Amino acid sequence: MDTPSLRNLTNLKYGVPAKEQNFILQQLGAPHVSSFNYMVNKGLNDAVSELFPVEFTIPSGERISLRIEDVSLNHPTVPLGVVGVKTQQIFPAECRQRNATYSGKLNGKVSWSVNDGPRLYINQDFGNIPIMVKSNRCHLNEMTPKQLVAHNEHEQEWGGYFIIKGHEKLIRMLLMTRRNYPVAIKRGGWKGRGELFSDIGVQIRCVNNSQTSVTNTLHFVTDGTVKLMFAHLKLLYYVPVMMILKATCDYTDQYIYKKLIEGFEDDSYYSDCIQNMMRNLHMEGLHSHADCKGYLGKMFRVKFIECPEWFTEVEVTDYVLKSCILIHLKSMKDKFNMLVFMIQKLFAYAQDNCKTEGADAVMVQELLLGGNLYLQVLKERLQTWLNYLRLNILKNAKSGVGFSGTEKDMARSIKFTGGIESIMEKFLATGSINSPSGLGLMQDSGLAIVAENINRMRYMSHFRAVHRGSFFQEMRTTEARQLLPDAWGFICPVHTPDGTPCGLLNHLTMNCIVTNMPDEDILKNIPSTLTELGMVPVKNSQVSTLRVKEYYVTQLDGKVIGYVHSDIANKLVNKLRCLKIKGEEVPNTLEIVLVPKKDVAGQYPGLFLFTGPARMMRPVYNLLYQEIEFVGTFEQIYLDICVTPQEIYKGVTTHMEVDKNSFLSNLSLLIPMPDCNQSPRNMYQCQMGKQTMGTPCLNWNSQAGSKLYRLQTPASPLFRPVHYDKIGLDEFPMGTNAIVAVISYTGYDMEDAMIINKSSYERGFCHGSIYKSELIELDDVNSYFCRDPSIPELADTLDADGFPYIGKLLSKGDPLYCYYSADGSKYEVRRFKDKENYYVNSVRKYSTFSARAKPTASITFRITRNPTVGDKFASRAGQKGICSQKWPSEDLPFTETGLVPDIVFNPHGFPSRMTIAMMIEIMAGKSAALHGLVHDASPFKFDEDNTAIDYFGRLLEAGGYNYYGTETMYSGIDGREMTVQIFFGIVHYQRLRHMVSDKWQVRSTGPTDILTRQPVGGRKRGGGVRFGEMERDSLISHGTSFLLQDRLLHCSDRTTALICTSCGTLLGPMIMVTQIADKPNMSETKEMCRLCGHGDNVVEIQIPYIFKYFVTQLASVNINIKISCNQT
Amino acid sequence: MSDPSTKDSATTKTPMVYICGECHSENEIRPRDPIRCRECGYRIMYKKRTKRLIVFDAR
Amino acid sequence: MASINDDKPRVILNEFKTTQNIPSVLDQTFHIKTFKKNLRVVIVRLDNLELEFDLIGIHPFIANTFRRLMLSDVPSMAIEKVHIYNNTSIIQDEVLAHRLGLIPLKADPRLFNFKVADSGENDQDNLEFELKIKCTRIKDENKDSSRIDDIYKNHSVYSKHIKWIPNGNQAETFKEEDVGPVHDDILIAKLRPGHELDLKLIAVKSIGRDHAKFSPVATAFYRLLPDIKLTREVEGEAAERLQKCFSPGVIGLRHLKDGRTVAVVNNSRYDSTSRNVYRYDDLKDAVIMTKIQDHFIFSVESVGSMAPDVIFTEAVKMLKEKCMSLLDELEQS
Repeated sequence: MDTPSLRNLTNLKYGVPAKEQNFILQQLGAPHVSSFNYMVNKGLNDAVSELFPVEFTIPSGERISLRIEDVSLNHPTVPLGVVGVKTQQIFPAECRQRNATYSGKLNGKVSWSVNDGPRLYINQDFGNIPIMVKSNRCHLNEMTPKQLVAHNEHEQEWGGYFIIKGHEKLIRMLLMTRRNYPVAIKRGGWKGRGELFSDIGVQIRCVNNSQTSVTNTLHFVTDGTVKLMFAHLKLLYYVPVMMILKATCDYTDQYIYKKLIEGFEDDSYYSDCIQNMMRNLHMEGLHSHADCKGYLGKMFRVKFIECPEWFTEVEVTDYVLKSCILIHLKSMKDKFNMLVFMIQKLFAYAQDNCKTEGADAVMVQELLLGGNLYLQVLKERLQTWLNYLRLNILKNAKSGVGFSGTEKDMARSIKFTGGIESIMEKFLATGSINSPSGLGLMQDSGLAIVAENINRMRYMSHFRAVHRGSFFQEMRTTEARQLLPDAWGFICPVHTPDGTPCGLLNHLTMNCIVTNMPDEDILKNIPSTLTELGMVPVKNSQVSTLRVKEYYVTQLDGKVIGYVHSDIANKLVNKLRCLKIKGEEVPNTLEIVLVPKKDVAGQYPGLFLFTGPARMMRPVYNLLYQEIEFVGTFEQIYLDICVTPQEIYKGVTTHMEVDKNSFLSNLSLLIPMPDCNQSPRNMYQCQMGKQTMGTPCLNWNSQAGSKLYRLQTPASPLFRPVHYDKIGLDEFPMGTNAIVAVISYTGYDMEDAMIINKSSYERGFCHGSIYKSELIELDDVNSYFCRDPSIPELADTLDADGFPYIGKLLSKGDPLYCYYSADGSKYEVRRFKDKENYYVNSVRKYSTFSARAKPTASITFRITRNPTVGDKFASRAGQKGICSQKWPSEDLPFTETGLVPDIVFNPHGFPSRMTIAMMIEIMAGKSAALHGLVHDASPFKFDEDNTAIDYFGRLLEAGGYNYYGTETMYSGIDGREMTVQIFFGIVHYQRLRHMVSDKWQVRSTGPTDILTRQPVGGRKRGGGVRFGEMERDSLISHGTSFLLQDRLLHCSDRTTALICTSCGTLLGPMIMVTQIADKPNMSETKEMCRLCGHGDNVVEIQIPYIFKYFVTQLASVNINIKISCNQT
Repeated sequence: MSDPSTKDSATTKTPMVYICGECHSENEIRPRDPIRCRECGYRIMYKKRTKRLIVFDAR
Repeated sequence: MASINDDKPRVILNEFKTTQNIPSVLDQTFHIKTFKKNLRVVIVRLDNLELEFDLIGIHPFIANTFRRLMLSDVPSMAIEKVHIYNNTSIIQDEVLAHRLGLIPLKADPRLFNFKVADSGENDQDNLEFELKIKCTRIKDENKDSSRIDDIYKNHSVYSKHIKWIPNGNQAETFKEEDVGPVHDDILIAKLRPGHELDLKLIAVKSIGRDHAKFSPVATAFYRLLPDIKLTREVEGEAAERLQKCFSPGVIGLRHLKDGRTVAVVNNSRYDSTSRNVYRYDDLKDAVIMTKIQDHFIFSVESVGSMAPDVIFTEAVKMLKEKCMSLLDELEQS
């Protein structure tokens, strides 16, 4: 599949589901699905076992200990007890249509013991929690395309999202700091964290098996000491690192000192600092391991309220160390070793012996995957559930009910503890979390997004989008937005939006994979494999005899496992790569990073190995072993990777790119010849591609989403990159091949406007429609849909079931549906409100499993949206334009062969935009149509010696056309031959979803604000367009004072007011109503000023109402406004 | 209006044909009937198009 | 340059610009006598749907007027109203209606009146058709065949399924084969078992300006007659290259007795004037490309309701009528 082809046009089998799904498309959902699968298979029970058992005493003095165990998640099924249902499974298509949540039951065991007695168990149903589509708890998992189609899904369905109340929700992939690797960071804000704090620190984000993450930072304090930061329940604590170090293991001071200065024996400043820190500790009276533990426990007992009151101080300290400090390491000895490494790195960094790494480089980043976040949220919810259960037990124990620890007592308490169903659903519906710990995230909202299906491009891009975090969106610095060189091959340089999210919302390249959890059995053997290759394993509690200076510290997933001698390091790494490619002894997603020692300060050296999940990796060709190898972001920066074989430097180059285009994302690979465009144009096309009207889905009748755009007459482009065929985009086409004349013809094509041929339009050019659905839920369980028999006119529109008949054209005011309201005991008719005319596409009635569910139905409408003046179109080169006229075809110019353009494109669009690819497309499209071909538009296929223009020019020449793609044209208006040659050809045009029908806003009079009496804003409310300060300025500078007055007074809040000219007040004048003496039924009015006491000088003037309001407001704070008046 | 079921029996008893979203069998549903396919118990029912004249401009 | 200095008004195509040999035809004053003397019409090709003829000695404005009239003013019949009684296929009602509207009909528009708003029921201004079709599964035959023709009946709706329903006297006036779609094999919709179309179609007479479907021509256009002259002898490889710079048949190769091959102009009429010859520096000066400014090669492609020559004569008649009415207007005022 190296060249595109038109085989789909002639293939009679086209449309028959393939045997297997498309690999590239499956990759879109893969990171999401595999992270969820990990959660189901393993993570869930890891997390549950990590839950801190809730232990407490009840008033009767018994100690209760509560735990959750054996949690399992089930497939979505029809609830037990529902009869007459043929298939028990619930499929995603049903949930999408019914606006239901695709969820499965979470079952588990609650265990408890009284006074450390035998544990008792009770099975507990935690409710239905959302299930990821195509995960191993989804019925679609492992289905063949044919089966998928049978279940109303797309052949290529890749899953990875949740269905929450009918919406497809996706947990956004977030860029996080790489797990278990200490990063040297300089951050100005750290100076404010405490007295003498510097901006220098070493930070590590620790993630354990249940994907719980905790950040620890070693702060360098300018007095030469080091403080360790850890967080608990969003509060930050700073502890002298030496205290923690001593608390971890019972080592002698001498051993600790030796260990710390190992490899830095001749650094006197460093050893002074260490000695000083140790001395400080002794001065505090903390001499031993036990002293430190006791002190820490005493200090933190009050803050760690989850520790039961009978915990000793040592136990509290153990809990703190276990749950807050280097949580990825279970053993205290490992924690000690890692802390030592971090201190060494911090001092090297503080003395400028190594350089800043920074948190914004992709090399120190990994992803936060949907399943992992879901697991964290779930874990925390289960912990909270246990706490609620404790409260309920205490409540029962205190009340008359009592609690004695029997199963019955437990069941009673659990009954009122509730489930976690609604909370998990809310998390995905809103994307926000309400977490006591913050889950190690920088944000608590915007975590889930709707996977909008405007067209295939939009939908695909959601699944490969990675966000840096909404926290950075508000930051003024651009640091986090920069595209750094280490992102090469992992993050697409083209596909990022412009504006606020620029550089923060990125997209993974097509080849980039996200690692899964590796096999545990393989992991266990890695240290011994390394030892076989020459690594000296670390020996605890004895000072090694090695000259550590000559060695590289070797870490595996943030655990110091040994030392490798500098001389054999490169050889060892090469051997390890060989094993990695084989993938038997070590996983093939192992990331091998040898940061070499250098004479100049660079990154802190060491051999770092990563096996963990959620890392970005990409395939490159290993030249030594002639095999594909996956490399990670950190690994890549120490490799020499060439692009083409010609670039190989013998002995230097180790790897080669798999493909020239491997640094591009799915969407940028769909741009025709992006290498010929000015770079921002490619970015624009990535955005516009996502706004194109096209074919978002093929199962139109089982869609109930809010809004779907459909292009009626799409076509397969004649000039397209190979990727178009690779992802099977012919199934979801998104544009039309238009005959384009590049000519400035009528004047209606100025400033990016374009003219559409009226005849082309009438023949179906860019015709489209919108599908909209409205969900109707009745007010009461006993209400039902039915036509009101007392209004016979309803029968024109509605059927006896109270719904309009299929195909009915609805316009404003027509009855939409009718129901009998049990609440009001009468029939209610709801009318259609929109100004546009809608066709009724389908009517669906739903039921749920709940007996108390209100009757629901949904009506799907179809709105025809054929092109009109003001609609937006774009070519695939970031050239957008508004249709300014539908020009009669006889008035348009025609060529020697009688061809009339569909679109007239203004040549002024080219010089400043430099979209050469579009010009090439014009020629390529024309030659493709001429010879019945389809041309390859992949980037880097042509070069300076072999230009695209020459290639396509020759093809045109062979077909009898001008080499440069120009043609002689005749004016359609006067019939004369034009003296200029016109560039003429075929371009694939996209119709964008922005249409005037959705945007027009007009107002002469209309609703006004009650308080200010000024016109309201907003198209929906019939408001006006704001005539703002800048607009006002321009009218002033134009001197158009009458227009100014008309806009700002007459059309706004003009009002008449009475003013007393003698005292100049607006508030004084009043209208006196007096009864006429002899006519008791009549009264007369008289204007008079309350301040002057008479009405002689009261006149009526026109002022803006807001001024009157302003004067009144000022009066309330005792400020009087006096207006001097002149009669003219 | 008290109880419409007795009073307006004409409309409340008029069945409309709905098609099951799962097994595609046609079900007659009266206004107060539960929404459930009689064949397979499925929960989504599509209203069947009835013969009614709609005039379109062919343009 | 001598060869182009005849009395014909020519556009000379140079490499970067166009020039004229004599003052443009556009500037000449119109004399009916000379016009009558010079005007010639030569029909080159005429078949059922296509016509190619030369219109010589005419002003481009007038030639263009004929083109415009054919495109937008000569009336024809097309389906305008679609009464949908039932449509359970996957194609949406309005899209189906639009598709039906574009089907060319073979009904002589001259036999019909324009539809007026309050004309009521009459057989003079409309044609009525019916499209009733239902797809079913073929039960018995070929259980294991995978061809859709063996599984479904009426799975594709073609224009041949459209049935004419005579109104009033129409049955006497027209024969069955005179009205109906021009082509039998236009795919309208695809059906599957249970899908049904039940439509009534009403065709009326109107003009292309109103909607493209009423245009009687697929396209009607003209071009100027190209004329190519060689100024010097081109031989050998250069001659072959020269041949490739023009449309096939324009340049011929003559093998001379002395073994040389030289290029000669065979027939410049069908040259597409691609100007590719200017890409070769050595050939640039060998050719003079001109176009005769008052020699129009017209191509008319009918969609099928009327013969192309009829369409042109209709256009001429229409221009005459328009001129007459203009004269009337002028006289009255």
